[in-house]
Formats: sequence, C-alpha cells, structure tokens
Amino acid sequence: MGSTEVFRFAALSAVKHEYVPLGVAAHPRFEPVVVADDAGQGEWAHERNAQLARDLGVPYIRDVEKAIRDYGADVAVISSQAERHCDLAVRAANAGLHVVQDKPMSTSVAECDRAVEAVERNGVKFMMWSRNFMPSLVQTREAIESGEIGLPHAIHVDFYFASDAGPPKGSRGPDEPPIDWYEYQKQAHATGRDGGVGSEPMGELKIEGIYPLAYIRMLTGAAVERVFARTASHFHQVNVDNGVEDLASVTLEMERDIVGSLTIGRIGSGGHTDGAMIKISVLGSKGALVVNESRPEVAVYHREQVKGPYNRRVGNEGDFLMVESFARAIDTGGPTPLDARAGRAIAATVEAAIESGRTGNPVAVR
Amino acid sequence: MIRLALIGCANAASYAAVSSRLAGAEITAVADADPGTAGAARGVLGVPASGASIDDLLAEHGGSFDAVVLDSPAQCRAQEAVKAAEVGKHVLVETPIALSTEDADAVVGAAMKSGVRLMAGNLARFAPAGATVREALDSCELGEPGLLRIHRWESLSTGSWPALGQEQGGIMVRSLVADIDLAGWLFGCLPSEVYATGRRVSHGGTDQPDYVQVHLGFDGGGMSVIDYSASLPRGPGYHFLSMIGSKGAAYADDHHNVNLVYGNGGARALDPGHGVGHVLAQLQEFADAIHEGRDPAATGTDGRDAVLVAEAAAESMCSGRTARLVGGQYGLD
Repeated sequence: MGSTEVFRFAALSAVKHEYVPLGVAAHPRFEPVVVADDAGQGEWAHERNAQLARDLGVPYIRDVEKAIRDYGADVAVISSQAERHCDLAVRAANAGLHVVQDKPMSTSVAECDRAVEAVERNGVKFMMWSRNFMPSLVQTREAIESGEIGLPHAIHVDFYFASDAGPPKGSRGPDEPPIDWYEYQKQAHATGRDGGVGSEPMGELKIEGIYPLAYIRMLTGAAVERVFARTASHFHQVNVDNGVEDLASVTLEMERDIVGSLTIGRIGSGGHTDGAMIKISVLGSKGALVVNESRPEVAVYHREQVKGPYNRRVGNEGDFLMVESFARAIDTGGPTPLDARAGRAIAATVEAAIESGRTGNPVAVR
Repeated sequence: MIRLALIGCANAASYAAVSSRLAGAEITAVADADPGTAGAARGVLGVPASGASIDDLLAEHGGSFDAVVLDSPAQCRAQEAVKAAEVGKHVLVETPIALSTEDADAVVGAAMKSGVRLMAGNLARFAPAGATVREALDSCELGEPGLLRIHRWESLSTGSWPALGQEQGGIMVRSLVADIDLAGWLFGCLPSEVYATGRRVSHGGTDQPDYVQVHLGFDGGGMSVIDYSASLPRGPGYHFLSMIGSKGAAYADDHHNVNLVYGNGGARALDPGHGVGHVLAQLQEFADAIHEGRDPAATGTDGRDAVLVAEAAAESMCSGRTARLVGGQYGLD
C-alpha cells in the first residue's frame, strides 16, 4: 500500500493559471493552506490571488516569506508572471519546499540555472506542469516502451492553438499606438486568451513550447543538441507590435541521431474547429505512430452553436496522474516527471530556436 | 487529337484507368526497357506501337505520336526529354525532370529551342491534398500562407533508398523534389532559405540516408517542413499535408481518412485511396496546353527550380549549414 501522507501546499501567486493550484488541490494527497504573493504586485494580481484563496477556502496574504514560514507548507505551487517563476521557486526551495511550477519555466535560461542550483542544493523535488499524462501521451509512451515500433529515430509534433489573441495582424491604424503586451495580457485574462502573462513579451515558443518539447523528451529520452528555426508574426497585432512570434517551425537535431521537428502557433480561431490541433508522429526502426493528442473526445453539435469547439476532450485524468507522480517522487526520493534540469533543457532549446529564427542559422543548444 | 507515347510503363495501369476519359488526347505508343512491362502496358492500354526505349519508338513509330509522357526511371528522363524535344515532340516529364540542375537546364533549353511544350509533371500538385489546398489559397479562404507541413512516409517496398547516397543531390532530388515543388507552388516563389538534416545508417556496408527533413523559409515569413522516410512496414504509407494560413488552415491527413476493420488479425486501418483523378488531371492539362498553344500549369522551369532547391538541401545536409538564395543561385551561409 502506498503512502497516504498529505502534503500541505502554498500557492505562490496564481495570476496566470488558477488551474495549476486547483489541479494540485484536486489530488487527495495535497491540501492547500495559503495563497500568497509579494506585496508589491499590482492590485489586479492581488484580486486574482484573493479569488483563488476564496475558491480554495484558505487565507490570502501579501507576503510570500510569511506564507512559506508560518503555514507549515511542504510544497509551493507557482503560477506567477513568467519572469518571476524561478525567483519564487528559488525562495521556496531555499526554505525546503518542494516546487510545482507553471510553464514556461522562465523567460531566461540564466533564471532556470538559478532554480536548478537551488533545487539540487536543497534536495527538494521540482516538477514543471505538463501535458505528458494526457491519455494519448500515456498510450504513445507505452507503445514505444513496448518496443512495438522499435527505436524512435524521428519525432514530430504539431502544436496549434486555434484561438485569437486580440485584433488580427494589420488591423492597427497609423495613428494608433502599439499594443502594450502586459496590459493586453491582463485584459485578456477575462476571456482566457492571455497567452503569456508577464511584463516581457513572449512568443508561442516561450509560452507553449515546453508542452510539445516535453512530449519529445519523454518519448525519446534524448536531449536536443542543435536547432534550426523559422519564426513569424503571422496572425496577431499584439505579436507584431511586440516583436514576438505566433508561428514557428523548428528542426531538432537530437542525441542518438534522432531527428525531430516542432511546428507551433496560435493560429487564430479560424484555424481549427476544435480549439487545438495537436499531433505527435513518431518513426521507429520497426514502424511508426501517428497520434492525435485530443483523443478520446466526444463530438457535440447543437442548434445554438455558432462556432466550435465541437469535439470535447473526455476521459482525461492527466492532471491527477501527474500530481500523483509528483507525490510518489516525494515519497520515494525518485525523479519527477519533468524536473528542473529537464525544464532548463527545454528553455535552452526554446532560446536557441528563437535565436535561429532571428539569424537564419542553426544554433547549438547550450 | 494529341497522340501520346508513354515512356516507362510501371504505372501503366493508372494511365489505362484514365485513358478513355482524356479529352482531345489518346495514348498511342508505349516503351519500356523491360519487355514484359512493355507488353503488358501495350495490352492494358490497347495501343498499336511499342518498343524498348524512346529511341526505338522514334526510329520505328515516330509518326505515331505527337508528345511523350516520360514516367521512366529518374536517371533516364533528362536525356529522353532532350531527345524528344529535339525531334519536335511535346514533353511531359515526371518530377524530378532531371537529377541535376545542369541536366534540367538542358531539358528546358532543348524544349525552348524546338518550340515544344514542356510540362514538369508533379502528381502532388493534382492530387486531392495539394489541389485542394491550392484552391483554398487561391480563393483567399486561408489568407496568407504561413506554414506548410508535409510528412511522406513510405514502406521499403515503395520507397527509393538503394544506391542514392553517392549521386548528386542524392535522395533529396528523387524523394523530396515533388514536395519541394509543391511548397514553391503553394507559396508562389522559391524559398529564400534551405536547411536540411537527416539520419545516415549503414546499409550493406555503405553509409546511406535513412531519413531526411527539409526546412524551407520563404520571403515574407512563410515556412515549410517536409520529411521523407521509406522505413514503414509493408502497406500504403502515410501522407500528411497541412497549410496554416493567416485566416484559416487546411489539413489533409491520412489519419483522418482511414476506416477501421476488425478481423481475425485484430484491428486494422484501411485507406480508401484517392482514385486516379490526379493522373487524369495532369494528362489533361498537358493535352490542353498543347491544344491551346500555351505554357502548361507546371513548366519546365518549375521542374528545374525544384531540382535546384533539392540540390541546395543536399548541400545543406552535408555541410550542416543554411543555403540562401542570392541572384537565382543557392550558396551556403
């Protein structure tokens, strides 16, 4: 029989994705005890955090150190602005807390390095939030591990979110000011279209890249060594105005001569009826796998439905399985599904891809 | 009526399936180096003239056809195209039209000098996937083209790996040139950047490509990732094509199109196929261009340009560097 120890967690900022702390709280072995953020954050941030605290039935305090010190937390769950992720993780790890962190790990690899160092020095567990436990991913991993397709030698992921991000490219009038990234993200939160909350503009590679790159890492066990990428601001004025991509393609040259690719974009609501088009394709020495990430799903159509998504994902226990795996890692001292070093490696891949897109040359991942 | 000679008859059954539906054209002669293949093609197509080569046909039945359809092995096509053009025959040459830009230039030059129509055949342009995406782009449903992704995975029985590693352009020219041409056609220009990578494995003591991936960049921000493999187990292969545009997207995916059968061997996916309409459409376009005295939809220059890009991809793959288009030529960065 496995451990039943319950871990107490502090949600350290939830200004981006409340589903991260809510996902942890949904697991019976994790109990929320406090929501906290730094006092200097804007009122909008405090309002979001306070709302989460009400939803969880715990206090909200404007003092991260007090939350870490006084509430007996074992775990910190972080979903702040992206550029603050690692700093909060370092503060939690230095106090001996395990960490669950929202994506992206950071906007800079140097910050990731700080988190890796703190996590390892303090001997705490760290897990990046991921989609690796969605039903299709679990099935794909099991199929590969069974040897059915042999050793993977090529892997590809298409990762498109078919949603809009404000007005379309080319819609800004000559006398209108550029769209402010941070303000746009804050306003877009109400409709769930805030792609990358933070003061630093982020393209799709930084915002979402960790998900498909984590698939590739999990399914191959291989690190990316070099990339070639093309990037473009193809859809949204906010991306054009802030010089960040909403469409990208990346060639991945990986360990063991594995070749990969990632195509990624926030392609507008016209780009798919289901809100997303996510595929994983793997070539192995004995066969191949072609996987739709969204399955299983149920199609629902009705008279009042003007626009999709028509297919609803069902049977997805991915968050539970991921959090379960994190608990087991704490119990046993074993690895977490996507630890700090893995998150750092993915951030470095993203950084190299952005540089490649800018220069037009292949770039080594460091 | 345009009379066509089919040179290279491995796919004669496809031509036979559409020959009666051709308007203003008919197949009147066939040639194949393999006598059995030539004989079978003659029978299935019901044509009076056959030979072992284009030389045979020109010498013995030259008056029985006005144009040639070159579906012969890739290494033969350029020479055959030049011969046909030089004696005034219109030419439809399957892609790749040659295995080097130099040979492709010779084909284009011969056709120009003789004043015959030269069409670079590429069934990928006429197949449902490519044709539908092009229609959606032309009708502005998709907006500006942004990202084209193509997987073309075949089985060893239909793929073309053997003995490719040493030739100029190698596997790139043979296996990717059709999709490279398709990409240029959909984006409306040559790629400004070409990067390629792949995997080499040892086959029979020689180092051969096992898998290739080409990454193209187009002016204005467009991009394309195309990969080719011939390592699938026996079966119909897998083809995927998606175009992400600024207003919409199109997905042509074999994954969507298979049916399921549950039998004694367990569950299997069945591909219903796409018919032979694309073969008919390509032949008809060739015949119509001859009748109307115009360039065909896919010109010899298109075919030559695709070979040029494929060669750049091969150089990129060998060097690990980006090839850039400057003054009509690709140079390594």
